[in-house]
Amino acid sequence: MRTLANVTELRTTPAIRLEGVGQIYGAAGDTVVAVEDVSFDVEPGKFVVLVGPSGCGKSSLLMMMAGLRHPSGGRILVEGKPIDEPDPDRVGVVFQEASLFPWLTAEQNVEFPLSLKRTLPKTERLARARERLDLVGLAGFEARYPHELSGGMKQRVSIARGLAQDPPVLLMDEPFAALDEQTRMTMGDELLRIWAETKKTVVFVTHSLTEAVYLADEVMVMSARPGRIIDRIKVDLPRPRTYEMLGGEIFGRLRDRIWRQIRTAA
Amino acid sequence: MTLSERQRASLVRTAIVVALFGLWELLSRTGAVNPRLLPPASDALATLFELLGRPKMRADLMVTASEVAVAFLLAVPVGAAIGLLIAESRYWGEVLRPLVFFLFSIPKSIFLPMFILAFGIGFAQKVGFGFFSTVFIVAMSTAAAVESVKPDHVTVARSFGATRSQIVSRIYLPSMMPVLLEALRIAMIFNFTGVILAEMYASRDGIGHAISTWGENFQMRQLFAGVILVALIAILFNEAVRWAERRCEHWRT
Ligand SMILES: Nc1ncnc2c1ncn2[C@@H]1O[C@H](COP(=O)(O)OP(=O)(O)OP(=O)(O)O)[C@@H](O)[C@H]1O
Ligand SMILES: [Mg+2]
Repeated sequence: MRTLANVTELRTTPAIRLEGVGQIYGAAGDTVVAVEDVSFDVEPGKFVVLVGPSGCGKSSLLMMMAGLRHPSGGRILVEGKPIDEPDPDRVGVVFQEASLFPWLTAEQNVEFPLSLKRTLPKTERLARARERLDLVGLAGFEARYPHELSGGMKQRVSIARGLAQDPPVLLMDEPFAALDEQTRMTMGDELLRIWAETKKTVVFVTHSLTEAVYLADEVMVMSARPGRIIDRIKVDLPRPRTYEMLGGEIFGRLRDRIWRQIRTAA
Repeated sequence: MTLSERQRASLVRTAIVVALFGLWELLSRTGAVNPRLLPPASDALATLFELLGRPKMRADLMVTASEVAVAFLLAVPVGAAIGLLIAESRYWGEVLRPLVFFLFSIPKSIFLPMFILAFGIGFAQKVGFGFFSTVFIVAMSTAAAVESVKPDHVTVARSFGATRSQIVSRIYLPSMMPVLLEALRIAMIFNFTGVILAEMYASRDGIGHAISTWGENFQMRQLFAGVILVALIAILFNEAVRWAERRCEHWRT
């Protein structure tokens, strides 16, 4: 009986669990409560999108999930274990702007996370980097430097780098914000393809409501500062998502609901 | 065969240099300028080669080279340490930054007599003055180099579990490299100038001392040869570092 219970418990371990998480910036007297009492679970393999007014604490929340900042209160579990410091084996991060290292080629950028540990020999690390670049559709661009790549390609490299250590969880902070609309649409489709192939758990921050509904299994809406989760909206559109859905009735309804939430929250 | 814009520019550039030397030669040969004041360019070049064969000249060059090297090797780490302190510590940045700027803005040559009083005439005085001429620019450039490191890049590295020393060697160093190379190049100009100046002001040896003696004794051919020599050395070093700089130009973002 006990083993059976353990098995069910194992199965239901959320990929990410936040318990009463808060973040306070600044020293005594001059403090900013950026995030307040946020609790939620993200089931393994889900695509969750976080939206909310500017400055509501989305990036702060992501930084804490990545172990890059300690919560001022509450705790965060990834894969059932607390995350006290960055752990690239559990969490990969893709950053807002092109955060690639300009002194490294595409391949070396993707190899960078692997090279920090040195558990793999160099040839294997590079092979793995090439594999990841292939996954994001950049085969043949291994030797290019970031300044020789377009904005969309750079973010593809960033995604490949975030996936380098094959973490089960991928956190993405407005990864496509700097791209033009067409590239952004393409990258959304590409990301969904990669997500379907790799079965990662994704938490994705965006300001675009269309992007949010298009990508998400579930959209979480945050209030203005101090950031709290004020709504969780399941997106029950079938997958794969298609361009035609954008004009559909369900899509419009979901978008309107999110927009109303954000407007009252701001 | 068509030349690229760059090739054409470098061709014209070479032509200008050759023309200037030609003009110099012509002015002197025709007597338009008194050849005793301006010896022909070919004479100056011939003198240069002859001088390079002389043991005394080689010894002078060695003296200057070792002074420049020692002053540089002292000024760079000390300046870099001050620069790091300014960039990394808020408190020391506030305290030291204005001081470094004040000292940097003063013409260093007014301190030449004090260096003689402090060190006498010799190696230490010249190295000391070379160091003094260089250390502030190194400090300021190092601070600028550290500040050119993007916090985002550091965060990315941290997210992948980079240790402190990995962040220094894999993020800070390459980020700073373009600025650092430029800083080294400019620091060398200051350093070389400082040492030559100290030699010309008061010294018993060194290329600067030789040049100033030739000037006083009206040995114009030697004087011009010396000027060409010093100019060539400086240009060669400068170009070597610039070549390295160009190789990492696109790192600047
Ligand atoms: N290091 C910090 N020190 C002090 N305050 C901070 C710091 N980082 C963020 N803040 C503040 O915390 C609040 C939340 O910031 P955060 O960057 O998490 O918001 P965001 O939702 O990601 O905003 P945006 O949509 O503009 O990216 C903001 O008011 C911000 O000014
Ligand atoms: Mg943000």
